[in-house]
Amino acid sequence: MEFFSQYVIPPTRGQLELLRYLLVLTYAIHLPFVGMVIGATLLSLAFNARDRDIANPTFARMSKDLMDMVLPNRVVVLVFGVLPLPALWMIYGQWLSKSTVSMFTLLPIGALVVALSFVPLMAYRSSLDPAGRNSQVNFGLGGIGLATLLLGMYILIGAVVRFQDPERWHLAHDGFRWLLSFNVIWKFGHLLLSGLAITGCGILFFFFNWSGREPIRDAKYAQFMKNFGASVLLATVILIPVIGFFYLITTPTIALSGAVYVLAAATLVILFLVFLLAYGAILSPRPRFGARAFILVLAVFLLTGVGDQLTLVNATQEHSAALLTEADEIKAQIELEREAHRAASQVVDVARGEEVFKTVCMTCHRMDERLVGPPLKTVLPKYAGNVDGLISFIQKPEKVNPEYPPMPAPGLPLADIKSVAAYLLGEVDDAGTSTESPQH
Amino acid sequence: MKKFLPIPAAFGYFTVFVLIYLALGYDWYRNKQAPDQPIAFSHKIHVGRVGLDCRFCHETVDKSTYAGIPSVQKCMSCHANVATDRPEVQKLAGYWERQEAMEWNRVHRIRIRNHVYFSHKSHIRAGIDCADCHGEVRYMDKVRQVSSLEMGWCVSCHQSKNASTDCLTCHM
Ligand code: HEC
Ligand code: HEC
Ligand code: HEC
Ligand code: HEC
Ligand code: HEC
Ligand code: HEC
Repeated sequence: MEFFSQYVIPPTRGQLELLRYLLVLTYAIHLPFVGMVIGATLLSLAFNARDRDIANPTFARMSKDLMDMVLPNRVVVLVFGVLPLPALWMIYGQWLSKSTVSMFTLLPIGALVVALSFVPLMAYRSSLDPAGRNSQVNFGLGGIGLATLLLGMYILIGAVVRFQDPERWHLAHDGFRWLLSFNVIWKFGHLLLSGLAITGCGILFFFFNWSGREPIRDAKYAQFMKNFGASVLLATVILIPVIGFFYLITTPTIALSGAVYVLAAATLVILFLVFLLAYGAILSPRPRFGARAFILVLAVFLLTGVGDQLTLVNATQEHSAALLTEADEIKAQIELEREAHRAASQVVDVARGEEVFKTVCMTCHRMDERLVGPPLKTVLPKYAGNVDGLISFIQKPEKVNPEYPPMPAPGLPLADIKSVAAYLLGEVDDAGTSTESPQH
Repeated sequence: MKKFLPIPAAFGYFTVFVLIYLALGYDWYRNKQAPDQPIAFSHKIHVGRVGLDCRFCHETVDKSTYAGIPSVQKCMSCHANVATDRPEVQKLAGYWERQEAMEWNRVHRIRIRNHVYFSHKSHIRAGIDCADCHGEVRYMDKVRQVSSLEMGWCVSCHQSKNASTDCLTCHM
């Protein structure tokens, strides 16, 4: 944590808000893309293997087309797959600065593994042959790429999901115990299923609705593709509510709030609509509904991202309050120094001191009676000739007499404190030299 | 029309899950949320702004099993005069005038208390900070439970601090 706490100024309220939006945005860019890469690679490998078993050109072509869909070129990989990773790191680093969790273990390791996994995946994509002469070698590349991506995502998700469980932040140094939690496992399962769902939509959408693509002429292939995409979508949409349920019940109580449940329930409503679209796509002879299903599944990703952001907000409530207080203190410190400059050139104003005394101090003090605080006549003599001592007590009161509650800091500007101190010491001096006691 | 059958079936399926999620939410709302208190007492104001020490109010925390909740009289040592214009403080003064005890709602409770020996005294004397177990209460407007208070939680701290993890330490 040293790096972040040393060089990162505690965020103000506005910056914390901004971090929340950035987090949701980053999730919304990264997770659908990675989910789709995982889903498409998994299916592509399956078709690849089937093709080598029974040499079916449809399967070989499907295997290739799937990879072309998710990894069209390097720019897409960079923008959607890699750049969000350092962004995530910075966001969490700011948000959790000053906490005991380390930003230097699991999060960057997971991010690095994810970024590296795109190398074998891209190689796998380029090595695929639509005519179906795929070999063990390229299958191996795809397998390695997928395994690396899954491992990286598990570490990444594990790292950030556990942030919402402050009770176990002390496990941060123990990677295995940190990652082995049902909460993490269900979240990971949720990502896998959502990834497959968006791959299913992707097949319906990018192959058939995407104007940038040349139309598929082979009717049989198109039919197969459509039914396959819709079936994948249908199956995953049915399973997501179950896994979401397990995720909810394993989420620590401290991270929950009414809104988290309502959001989760709202995603189910959207998933039902997706179900209708997917089923409609199966029934319909023509490929349909791809775009709408795709947008709805993206909405599910977005709502899930909002929910994840919310659980973190809930879990780190006091932590954020501490950060804000610290930012306020830094601001107040600067203000105080400025104030001191101004006060130095200001004359102490006894009349102003009397006013401050009557409006602020009289809530708790009288000269002769005990109220909340002691009668000032009994305590002021010890400050005679020690204005500075009195000033510093009023600025930052310390516990003196066990018979009284502690005096809260009144939070006055230094000029007022100086004035009230001068006024008070003047009052006891008067009382000492004249015979009648002053009226207040 | 058999091919349309899955639609009502799916409707039922998703409805059941929506209801389950909302039921979980209701359970959280009723049982797990930090309880409201008869008076909106804020630790953030009293510890953060006014600067009071925890022990000024939770007097018995280093002397006994229970930390203890301050009496209305303790509040009135200040609030007879301080902030008397605030509605919540006037409510407090009402309790004082009626000589009525304040029924604060408990936030922390070990679930199966009867079979567990836990004492604040020994932990405070061992130099453990309130925040290690209760979180940063001084930043809370409304106290909420930050730690689960489950056995795994007690034991993991005992392990890390080399305190006893013998069953009989906590179960008698
Ligand atoms: C919220 C109530 C409250 C307010 C407002 C308040 N005081 Fe006090 N004051 C106390 C209490 C309680 C004590 C006794 C503290 C102790 O003995 O630890 C005290 C003690 C003092 C003492 C004695 C310190 C000593 O060394 O024994 C001085 C002087 C004093 N206050 C000055 C002021 C001045 C000046 C103001 C206005 C700017 C002020 N107080 C406002 C509650 C208050
Ligand atoms: C001005 C008096 C006062 C001070 C100072 C104070 N508290 Fe409290 N505390 C209360 C009152 C009153 C309650 C009961 C109402 C509530 O739960 O908010 C309470 C409740 C609590 C509870 C929840 C008890 C339960 O029901 O489980 C905890 C924990 C707690 N305080 C910790 C602290 C800590 C830690 C500090 C110091 C940082 C502190 N308190 C300082 C008055 C105080
Ligand atoms: C040491 C003096 C002191 C004690 C003891 C104390 N308070 Fe306060 N309390 C204050 C001060 C000072 C404020 C005003 C803080 C401010 O607004 O800056 C305050 C404010 C409040 C408020 C109003 C908050 C708002 O702004 O609406 C309530 C309610 C309150 N206290 C309740 C209690 C209760 C209940 C207790 C007893 C458990 C208690 N206080 C004990 C000093 C004290
Ligand atoms: C070792 C962990 C631990 C520490 C340290 C600790 N507490 Fe507690 N506290 C608990 C547990 C556990 C409970 C619930 C006890 C029960 O169910 O009887 C509790 C309950 C409370 C309660 C409500 C019930 C009661 O005992 O009156 C208050 C108030 C409280 N703590 C205040 C404090 C304060 C103030 C401190 C710091 C001076 C502190 N605690 C330090 C673990 C701790
Ligand atoms: C933050 C760390 C921490 C947590 C959490 C914690 N303890 Fe402890 N506990 C200690 C330490 C340290 C000691 C050793 C004290 C000593 O050596 O005197 C201790 C000692 C004890 C003792 C023996 C002392 C005695 O009172 O006779 C008991 C019993 C105990 N703890 C029960 C519990 C229970 C029950 C819980 C959970 C509700 C719990 N502790 C949670 C740190 C912790
Ligand atoms: C540091 C204190 C501590 C030690 C040591 C400890 N326990 Fe516990 N145990 C607890 C607490 C606290 C609970 C209550 C958990 C709750 O309320 O959720 C508990 C609950 C239990 C329960 C009931 C579980 C349930 O969920 O109903 C059993 C059984 C149990 N302990 C057995 C043991 C055994 C066996 C050992 C020795 C290996 C042991 N405990 C050591 C603190 C401890």
